[in-house]
Amino acid sequence: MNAFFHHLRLAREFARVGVIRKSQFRVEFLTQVVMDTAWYLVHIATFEILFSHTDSLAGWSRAEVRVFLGFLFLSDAFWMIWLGQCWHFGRELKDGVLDSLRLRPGASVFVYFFQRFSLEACVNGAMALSWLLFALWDIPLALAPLGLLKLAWALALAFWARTALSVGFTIAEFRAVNSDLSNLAWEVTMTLADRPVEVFPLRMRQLLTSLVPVAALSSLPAAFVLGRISPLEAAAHTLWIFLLGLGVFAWWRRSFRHYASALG
Amino acid sequence: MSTAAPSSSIARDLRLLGVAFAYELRKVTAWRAGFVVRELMRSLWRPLVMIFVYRAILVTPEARFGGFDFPALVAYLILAASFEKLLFHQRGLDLADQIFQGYVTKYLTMPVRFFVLALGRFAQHLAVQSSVVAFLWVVGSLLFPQWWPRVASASAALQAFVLVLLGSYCAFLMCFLVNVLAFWLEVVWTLSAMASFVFSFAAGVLVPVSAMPQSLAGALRWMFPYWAVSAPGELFLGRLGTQEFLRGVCVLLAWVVALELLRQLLWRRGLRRHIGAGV
Repeated sequence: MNAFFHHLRLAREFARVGVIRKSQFRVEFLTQVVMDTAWYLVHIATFEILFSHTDSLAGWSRAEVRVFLGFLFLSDAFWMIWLGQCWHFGRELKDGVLDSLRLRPGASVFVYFFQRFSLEACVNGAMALSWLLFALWDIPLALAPLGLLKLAWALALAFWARTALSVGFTIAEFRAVNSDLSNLAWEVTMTLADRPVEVFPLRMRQLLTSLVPVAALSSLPAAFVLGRISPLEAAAHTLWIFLLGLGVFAWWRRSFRHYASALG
Repeated sequence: MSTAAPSSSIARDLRLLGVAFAYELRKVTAWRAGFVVRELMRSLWRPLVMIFVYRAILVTPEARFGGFDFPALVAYLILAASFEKLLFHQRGLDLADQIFQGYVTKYLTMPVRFFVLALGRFAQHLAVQSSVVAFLWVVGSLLFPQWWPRVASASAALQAFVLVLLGSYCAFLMCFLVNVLAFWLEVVWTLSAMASFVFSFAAGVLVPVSAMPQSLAGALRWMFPYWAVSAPGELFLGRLGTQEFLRGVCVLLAWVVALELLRQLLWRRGLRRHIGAGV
């Protein structure tokens, strides 16, 4: 329990430094908010155009896809708020600048991946939450007390999966330095997560809900809140993804032991 | 004498372009894993994933999406992915980093035009991506002959290629412009990323522009991304004719002129602000 509160204090410190940094780069603040807003709008426009030609996308109605997009936006905002540092991992590994992690003020995974708090992403997070609530407004009982409980559960699942995937993809960089493999993996992942998992063939769906749980970023949480999967099924997915995440973190720590400053 | 000076300057620029091209080519192939990831796989995923989306929408053989049946959409998406690979990519230019860190100064003190070095990157990008696309087309047409796009005519292929080349140059100028903003802003990657999202949408990489609502499609036909991806795809498949090609050339040339003038203006003004020590 002490370790948990210690890491909460570290997170608070990262957030404090992030706020100070962003108070100096005001234009960056604005451009990032505008960038994410453009990303949201492009997604919404794409699906609205698709639904102008059809009533259903692999069994998902227009209203359900809006909820799906809400989870996609919100889990992306979580990633931008806390996990933006993973984008720089390949270059930092190559340049050999990860020595400070050896000092271990906390778990190395936590200290590295959560160090870059983004205040502007909080604004985008608020926009994403507004969109999700707007989308859920049309879904019966989604905003009732039980529905809100399911919503919290679904969001926790999406955030955990984001963290596990962010950490997991960077492991490839230990094996192939300066390959950009983790960024490519993210590009592919985001492309796959952008669509309800039901559009893919069965084998691919199984892969995306198990070993590479991309579906947990948006499809599974949305399906749970919309009642497309039962609480039991959601619990099974949650348990599996939780264990997978723990395994990924342990694997990352083991890989980091082989890190030498001059890997590049 | 007055004619000899410009021609020797052009010859010097061309020699420099050749050297920059060869150097950039060596650099991009230096990291083999990075080369495969960055050059071979870039820009392929989104159009490929959309094939599954359209499969889910067009469940019967008679079903249509904006006038496309499913095989026509697959052909369109393969073309969109191929053409998008040929377009200059924002990661190909690190001018903003050089401005932030003050490195750009050393190039400015040399008796060469800095822009020629950037043009070397553009030439390298085109050479590498043309080879990659040719390789993928050979492999793809052997493995999936029933799905692979069939060209309407030789002139349609040539017209599509001309539009993509012009469009790629527009994309290069746009990347340069966004990078030049580093003279004024602390961060430009967000603008690059935003330009990339909007570009993909406006280019019709995921949804053909002709399948979009009429008013939106009408507006996008005045933008260069449409003529760089969506229109060449439709030309290639014989869905657009020579008249549309000529209109595309006019629109793209107008964009080249406008972007080039803006580039020169911003570069001159930026250099006046530049202090050579980074921001």
